[in-house]
Amino acid sequence: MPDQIAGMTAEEVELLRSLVGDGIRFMVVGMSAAILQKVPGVTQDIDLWFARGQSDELSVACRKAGATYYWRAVPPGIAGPGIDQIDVVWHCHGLGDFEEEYARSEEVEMAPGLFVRVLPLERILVSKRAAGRPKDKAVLPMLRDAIKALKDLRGRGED
Amino acid sequence: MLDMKVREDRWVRAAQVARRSGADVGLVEQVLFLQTLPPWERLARGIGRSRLGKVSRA
Repeated sequence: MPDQIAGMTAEEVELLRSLVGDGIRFMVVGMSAAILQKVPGVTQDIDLWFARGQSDELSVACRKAGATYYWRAVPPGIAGPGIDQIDVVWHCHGLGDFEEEYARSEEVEMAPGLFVRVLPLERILVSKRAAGRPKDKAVLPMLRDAIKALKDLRGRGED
Repeated sequence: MLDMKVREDRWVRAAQVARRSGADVGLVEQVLFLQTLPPWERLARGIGRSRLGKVSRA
């Protein structure tokens, strides 16, 4: 299956494979993480929350995928040909620090054979509630109901 | 016809989950549909919908 079908460009998938392959510690957060976990939402980008203190390793992993990690900007980011949906996140409103949240993260196969950590739905709900922008508030009922439904399905062994 | 049967069964199941959980039945139906897809297909639809408008749902 071509990587483009995954909703990402081949370059973006390659970048994620490079990050995972190099052992960079990150997790997918925000609506893309919710969508990966069966929430029927929409998003325009993929937010990646990185652990601090790995800028050098992150630069190397990005270069291997033909991308650049630019760290002298506020906020820092990742750019390169074919990479326009990846956003770098260093903090999530209402949540604990990276280590605390990473310990609760779950594994999802984001593209065939590409396993990444994602922020659990309950924590996405907390972060959206804390962020409080109109676009965050708009998705709260959807997140709440998806959590309820999935909890019910899990309780019955159907998820 | 098979497609219709699949949808019908999903709505019946969605109604049951909605009744038990208190979640909106339409939302549950969408969750049940997404449950049948691999995660990357879910993401493709989530990104595709925001960029291209509505994507048909079998």
